[in-house]
Amino acid sequence: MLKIENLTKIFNVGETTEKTALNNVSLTLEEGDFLTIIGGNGAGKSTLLNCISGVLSVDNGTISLDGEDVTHLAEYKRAKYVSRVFQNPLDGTAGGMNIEENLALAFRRGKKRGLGWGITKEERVLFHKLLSETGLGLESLMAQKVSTLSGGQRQSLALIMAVLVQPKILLLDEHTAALDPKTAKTVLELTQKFTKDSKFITIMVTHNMNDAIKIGNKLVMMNQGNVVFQASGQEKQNLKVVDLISKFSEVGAELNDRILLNS
Amino acid sequence: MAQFLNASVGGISLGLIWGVLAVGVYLTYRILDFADLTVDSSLATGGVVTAVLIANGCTPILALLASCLAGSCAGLITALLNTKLKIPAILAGILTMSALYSINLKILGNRANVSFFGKPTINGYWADLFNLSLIDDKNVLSIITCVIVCSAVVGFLYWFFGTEFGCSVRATGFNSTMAKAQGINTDLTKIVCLMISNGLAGLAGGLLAQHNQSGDVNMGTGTIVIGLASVILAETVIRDRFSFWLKLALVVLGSVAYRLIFTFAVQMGMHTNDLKLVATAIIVIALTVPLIKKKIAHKKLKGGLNNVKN
Repeated sequence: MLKIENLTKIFNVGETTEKTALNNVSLTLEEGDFLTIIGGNGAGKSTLLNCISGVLSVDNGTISLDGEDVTHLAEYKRAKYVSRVFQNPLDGTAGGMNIEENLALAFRRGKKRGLGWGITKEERVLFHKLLSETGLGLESLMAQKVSTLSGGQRQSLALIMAVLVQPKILLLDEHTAALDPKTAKTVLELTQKFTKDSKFITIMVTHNMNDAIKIGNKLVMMNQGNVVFQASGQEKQNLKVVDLISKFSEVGAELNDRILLNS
Repeated sequence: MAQFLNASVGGISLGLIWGVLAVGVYLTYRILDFADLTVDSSLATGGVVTAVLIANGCTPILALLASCLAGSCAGLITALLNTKLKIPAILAGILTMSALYSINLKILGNRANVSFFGKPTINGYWADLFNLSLIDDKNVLSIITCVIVCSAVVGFLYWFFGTEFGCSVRATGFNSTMAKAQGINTDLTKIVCLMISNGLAGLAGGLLAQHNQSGDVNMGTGTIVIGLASVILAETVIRDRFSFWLKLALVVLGSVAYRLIFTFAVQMGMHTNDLKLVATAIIVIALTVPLIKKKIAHKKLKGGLNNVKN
């Protein structure tokens, strides 16, 4: 269970540019939950994800995972529980290393890295099998540098790496936003495949309101650092895009073109 | 001609000594993507440690190990300044480099240099073994030493960067965001890589001191330029598909090539005062070769297209 209580994050404290990115945000998610987060620019979506993953320190509030307080746990230590896929396909993989080396790195997430071999024969066989199962054809490119792959292939690989070792939380920060519509669809299908019947919690930030309604069992709308609307279960499934747009208007959120065009 | 050959042997022996340093620079500059200037002083640290130890009766091999360790400590300082105190990489290196100058003088007992003529050196082992003269065959002896040391260094690094920890050092250099997300302690990987890199610089300093039979506080001046020049020269022939050990070996050869260019220039009558100018020219030329190649390829392509049109 992920429990976020009164989380506050303020940037540039005491300066004229001071901005409250998160204002007393509280959220509770259970095992297997898939939460989608929507909101305009500067709503605090990415900040929330970065606080959960430990990239940003929090100014107030607590984050606990299965009863353990992880609020101040270092980012690399928190990686044992939290895995991530970034918006930029270049961020989630090491371009200068080949596919199998990237997978081997991900295979050791949360484990001690010593002086044993960085990748073993058995692992190569295992990775080949796993890649074959995804049906993306990556298994024939295992020895290729990741920098030679397309953005969609890289993002798919990043996703595979994120679930290679079961996390407790999977964070997806607009992971399909930088891809063309067709590739975005493939990556999203892969996401659904990996998270279906999963034991871990998934949190996905998206600009696409259709996806936000269609995918997952919980939805949160954020505006200026606040959670302004929540829905789950049947209530969420029955939502329409127009409902969300009117919710946005109610709170006076400015919707950028990207959100409207994607809807 | 005989004189030229003789000078070339000298160039090769020096090139191999500095090759150890070049490999160290390659680790930070290319693998960790960390512009580390510490080597300018850590090489001298290695040199003066060996000089003082041997002058006081220490065995040559032990002195080399101590030099390597001393260099590592210098790397550790830079790494801590960067990772723990968040000082930018280049500045952290400059600060350590500057501080080390005073430390190196202290090691030498507040003198600028210490000589140890007549004391045993690692080259002396081979002189005894192969019945050569320590003075006449100085460069040949040094080459024997360095081929062994370079092979050991390349072998060690080939193994190290294939391990789990070595892979995480590489990942840190390629993409630290990804590395952290995969649970890699990027502070630790940086610290270890800088320690290895400067350990190699210290080792090169120790070898240089044994070659010269003296250690000087200024022996490291301009080290970073020499290291970079060697790496860049090597990279004109290194290809992505090459095995890692081959890349490292080519970096060592890059350093040898760099020395031979110097030897040639001096033999052609250039004054040794102009060497730095030549060094800069070498780096600039090596760096522009890819650009020129691209231009030529582009022109060819354009020419081809024009032919099609006609």
